[in-house]
Amino acid sequence: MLFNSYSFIFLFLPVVLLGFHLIGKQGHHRVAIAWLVGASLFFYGWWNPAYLGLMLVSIFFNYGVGVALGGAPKQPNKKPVLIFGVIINLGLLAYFKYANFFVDNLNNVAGTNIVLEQIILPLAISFFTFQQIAYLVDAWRGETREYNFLHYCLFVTFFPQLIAGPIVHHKEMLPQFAKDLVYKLRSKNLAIGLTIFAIGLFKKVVLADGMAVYATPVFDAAEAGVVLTFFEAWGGALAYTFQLYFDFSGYSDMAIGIARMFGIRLPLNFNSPYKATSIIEFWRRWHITLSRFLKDYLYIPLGGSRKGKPRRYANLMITMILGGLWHGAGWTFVLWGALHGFYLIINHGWRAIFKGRNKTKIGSFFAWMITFIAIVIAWVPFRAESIKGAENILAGMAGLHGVSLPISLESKFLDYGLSLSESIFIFNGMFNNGLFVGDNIFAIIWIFLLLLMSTLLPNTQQFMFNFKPALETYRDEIIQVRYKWMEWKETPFFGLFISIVITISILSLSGESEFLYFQF
Amino acid sequence: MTIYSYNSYIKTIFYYVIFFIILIALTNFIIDPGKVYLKYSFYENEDAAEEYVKKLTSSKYGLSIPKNTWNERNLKKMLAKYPIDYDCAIIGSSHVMQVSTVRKYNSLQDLCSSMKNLGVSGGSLEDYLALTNVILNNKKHLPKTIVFGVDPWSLKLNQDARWSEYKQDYFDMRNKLLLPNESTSSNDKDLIFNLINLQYFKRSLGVLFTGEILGGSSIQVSEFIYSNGLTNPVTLPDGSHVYASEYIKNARQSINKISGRHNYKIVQGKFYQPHAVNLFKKLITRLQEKEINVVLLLTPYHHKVWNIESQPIVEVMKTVENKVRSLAESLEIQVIGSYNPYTVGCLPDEFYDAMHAKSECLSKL
Repeated sequence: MLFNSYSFIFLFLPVVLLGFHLIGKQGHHRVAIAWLVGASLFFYGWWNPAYLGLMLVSIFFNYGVGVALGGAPKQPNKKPVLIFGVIINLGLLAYFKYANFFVDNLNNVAGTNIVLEQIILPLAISFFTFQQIAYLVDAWRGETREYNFLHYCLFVTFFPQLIAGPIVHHKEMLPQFAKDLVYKLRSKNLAIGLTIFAIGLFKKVVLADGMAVYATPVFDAAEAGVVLTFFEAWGGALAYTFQLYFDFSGYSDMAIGIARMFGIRLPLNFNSPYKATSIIEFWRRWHITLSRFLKDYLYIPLGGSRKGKPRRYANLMITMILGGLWHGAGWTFVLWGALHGFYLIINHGWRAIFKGRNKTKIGSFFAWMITFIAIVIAWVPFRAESIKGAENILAGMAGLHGVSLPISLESKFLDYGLSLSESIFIFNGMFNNGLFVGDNIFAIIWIFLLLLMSTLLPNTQQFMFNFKPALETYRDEIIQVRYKWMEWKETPFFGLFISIVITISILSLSGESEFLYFQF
Repeated sequence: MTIYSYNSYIKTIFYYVIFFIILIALTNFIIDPGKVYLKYSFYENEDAAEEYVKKLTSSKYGLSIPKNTWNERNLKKMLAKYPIDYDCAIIGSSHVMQVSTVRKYNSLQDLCSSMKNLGVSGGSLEDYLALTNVILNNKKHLPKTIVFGVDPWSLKLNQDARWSEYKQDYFDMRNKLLLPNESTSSNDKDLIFNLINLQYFKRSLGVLFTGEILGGSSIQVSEFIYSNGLTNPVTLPDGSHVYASEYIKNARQSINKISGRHNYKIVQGKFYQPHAVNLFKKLITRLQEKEINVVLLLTPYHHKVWNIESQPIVEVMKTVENKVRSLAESLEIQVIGSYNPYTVGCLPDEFYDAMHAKSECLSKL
C-alpha cells in the first residue's frame, strides 16, 4: 500500500488510527500494540503476502538472538552468538539482494554458465535487516534492555517507517512504546502529524512526480543509446536530482507525520541536503539515519579515523562503496558509492590542509556550487540502469556530444559574423531529441524553481521548529528560520494553507507512483 | 495572530478540504470538458459539430477552419458516426492525416474508392479503440476496410493523454475486448476519481475562464492547390488534412535542418508492450469477426532520419516494423508501406519534416 494512494489516506490510516486510540483509551495497551503490529503486517503484506513469512521469521530469530545476547556487556562467550546472528542476517540479505548480481558477474568473469532463477527482492529487506543488526550489536554491547516481544515486533514492523525508513534505532523507539501518553489521542499530535504528512504528500505527488516526467525519458533514452547533447543531459540529471530529493524527503516527512499522529516521534532523515557547502556536510543532511548507521556500525568498527590518515581514507571508501551496494546490487551503485567515497576523501584532505580558515560569502557560494555539481554528477550512475547509460549522460554533460542551441540563435551569430560550424555548437534547439515533455521553457522554469525551493526555503523541521516533530541526530544543525511568520502555528492562516496543500495533493493522486526508495 | 486550539485547526483543515473537493468535483462535473459525465457540454457546441460534419461531407473542396476553434477528436468522432456509406476508415496519428481519396495524389487506391480519414494529432492505440467503437456502433454504415496507421509508438499504451477526449468510447471498447478476468479497473471508479483529477480540473478552469466554447466557424473553400495550402488548415470532404500555407512554407525551409535525431515518442521506455500488442490483436480479431477487412499502414520517416544507422530510433523502427509484420502474418492481414522511405520509394523532398510524408509520398503506398 502506498502512502500516496486513496486507499491509504481515506481508509487504512483513519481506521488504524481510530482503532489504536480507541483500544488505547480503554487502557488495553498490549492490545493496542498488537493492533498496530497487525495493521503493519497487513500494510506490508498488501504488496505480496508471501513476503510476510520471511519477515516474521526474521523478527523471531533476531528477538531470540537478542535475548541470548542480553546481560553483561561484551561477554566473550557470547561473541560467537553475535557473529552467528549477523551472518544469518547478512546471508539473508545477500541471498535475496545480491545472489543474482554475484552469479551474473561470476559468469562474466569466469565464463561459467550458472543459471540462477530470478530471485524476487522482498520489500524493505535492507531496512529491517539493518535495524535488527544494529539491535543485535547493541544487545552484545549491553546497550539494550529486556524488551517486550510485542514492542520489539512493532519496532521492526511499525508501518510508517517499515518500507523506506527512516532507519530507526531501538533506543529511540522502544522506550516510546512504553509511555502511557502514546495511547491517548492528543489533538496536538494529530495537528502536527497531519501538517507534516500534508507537506510530505505534496512533495511527493506534486514536486517529485512532476519532475519524473522530465527525468525518466532522458535516462531511458540514454540506455537506448540516444546521443544526448549538453542541455538535455544536464536537464535530465537535474530533474532526477530534484525528483529523488522531493520523493525521498517527502516519504520521510509522511512517515514522520503519520508516526506523530500515533504519538511516536521518528528520527529526522533530511535537513535540506542541497544547502550543503561540502560533501561532509551533505552526508550529515542526506538520509541521516543511514549515514548514522554506516558510521556507527561500519566506519567506526573498521577503525574510523583512529588509525592514521591512509587507513581513514580506506575506511571512508569501503563504507561508501558498501553504502552504495546497500542501495542496490549493481555496478552503477558501486560507482555512485565510490564517487562519494572519493569526494569525502578530497573533502577531508582539503579540510586538513586549510584548517581554521574562515569562509567568505563568495567562498561559501563556490563551495556550495562545487558540492551541488558533484552531487548531481554522482546521481547519474545512481539512476542509470547500466554503466553504459551513465557514461552516455555524463559524456553529454561534459559537452562531448555537442551543445545544441536554439535554432533562432544561428542567425544572430551569423549577424555578428560568427560561424560556429566547426565547433561543438549546433543550432537544433536546446532539447533536440524531444525528450522533454511539453514546453521546454516550462521544464527549465520548473527545475529552477525546485532548485530555489530546496536551497532557500526552510525545511519541514525548520517550519515546525517549535514543535520538534522529529528526533534529531544533529540538533545544533537545525537552524531556526529568520522570519517568525514562516514558522508553523495552529492559526487560521496555516489551516487554510495546509488545506490547499492537501487539496492539490489529493487532486494529483490519480496517477499513483511508487516511491524511489522502495527498491532499496 | 489568532491562535486556534489544535481541535479547531484540525476542523478547519477538514472543512476546507471537503469544501474544496466538492467545489472541484462539481466544477469538473458541470463543465465536463471531456464530455464524460453529461451528454451536453458547456465546452462544446455539439450541434455545431454535427452540422460541421454534414457541411464537410457535402462540400466539394472541404472546409477551412481557424486554429483552435474545434475539438479535433470530437469532429473525427462525429465523422465516424455520420451516416454515410464509405469503403474505408483510416485511424491513426498525424502521419496518416494526409491520406486521401479526393486529392490528386490519392492513396490506397486499390482498396478504397471512398474514405473517412479519422487520423488525429498524437493518435495512439487508445484512439484506435475509441474510434473503432464509434464505427462499430454505426451499424448501418460499416466500412469494408479499416486501415490502422501504425506508428513506432502505437504498440504501447499511455503515450499520449489526448485520447481521454473520448474516454467513454475507449473504455467501452476495452471492456468488450478484454475477458472478464482481464478487466483492469472499473470504468465507474475511473469516472469518480476523474472528478478530483488535477489535469481535468485545469481543463475545466481553462474553459471557465477563457469562456471558449468550441464549435466555431468554418468556411467552405473553393478549389485550391493542395501543395500550397490556404491561410488556415483545410479539412477535405473525406476528413483528410491539408496544412496551412505558413506551415508548408516553414516546413520547406526547415527540412534541411533535420538532424536525424528525431525521437517523437519513440525511445521512451520499451519499444512495444506485450499487453498493448495483445489488446491490439483482440481489436483486429473482433473486426475480422465482423467481416471487416483490416490493413496495417506504415508511413515512412525522412531519409535523413533513416540514414543515421547509429541512432537507436532506427533500431526501434526496425523492431516495431518486424513486430507489426509478424502480428499481421499471424492474423493474416495485409501490411502496406514501411518506415523505411527507400522501401516505399519516397523522395527526400516528399516530406514536410522528419516524420510527416506529403501526399506525393503517401500516394506510393
